[in-house]
Amino acid sequence: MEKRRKNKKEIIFSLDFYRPEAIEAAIRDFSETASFELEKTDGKKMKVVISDCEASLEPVIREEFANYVLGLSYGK
Amino acid sequence: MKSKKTNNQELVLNINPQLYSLAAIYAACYVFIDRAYLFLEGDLHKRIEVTIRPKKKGARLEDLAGDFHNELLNQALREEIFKNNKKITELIVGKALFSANPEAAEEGEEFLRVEIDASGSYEEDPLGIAVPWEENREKKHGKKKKK
Repeated sequence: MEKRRKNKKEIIFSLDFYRPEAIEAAIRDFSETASFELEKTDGKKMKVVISDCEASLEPVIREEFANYVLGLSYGK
Repeated sequence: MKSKKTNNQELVLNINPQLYSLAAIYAACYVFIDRAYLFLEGDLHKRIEVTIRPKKKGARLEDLAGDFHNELLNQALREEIFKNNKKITELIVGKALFSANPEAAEEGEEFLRVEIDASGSYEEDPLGIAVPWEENREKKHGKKKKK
């Protein structure tokens, strides 16, 4: 089994650009590669905290996740 | 459109939403999704910030930004063309779908006839397309004096 990193990373998505359903669906799809916590900061933003990530994906997990959410949000 | 390097790895492009629609920005981002990491922030009405970070190490940020700007123009144009041709596209698709079902064909023909009549007859020439070029020019510039 691949080593996991405990470092926490945060992404704050503006709900003007990203759909909440897309964020939730991306969390489900990425659930095997890392652990996710979802926090609503205010009505217009959503914070995702990523932790316990596979070591090989750790440097790009934030960006890969954001791209994935963008792909799911496109065409809303 | 202004761009700013936050460090050597990524670039932030400030896009005016009055010039480019959110749909065009999304579409441009989607085209770049395999070449770069993208993130959207900012104000929907004042300034949209697109952060671009190339996936390949050593890729030139300026080239990527230039390509992104071009793609944005391309998508804006596509959107404009789609808007202009929306009616005719709907009519053609509608006719094709109605033709596939012979029972609904007659009903469909009638529906399309009503739609076409509502959009005006070609004989009325609402866009002034049938006016000869010389007449148009004379109207705009007056008759040219002969030397």
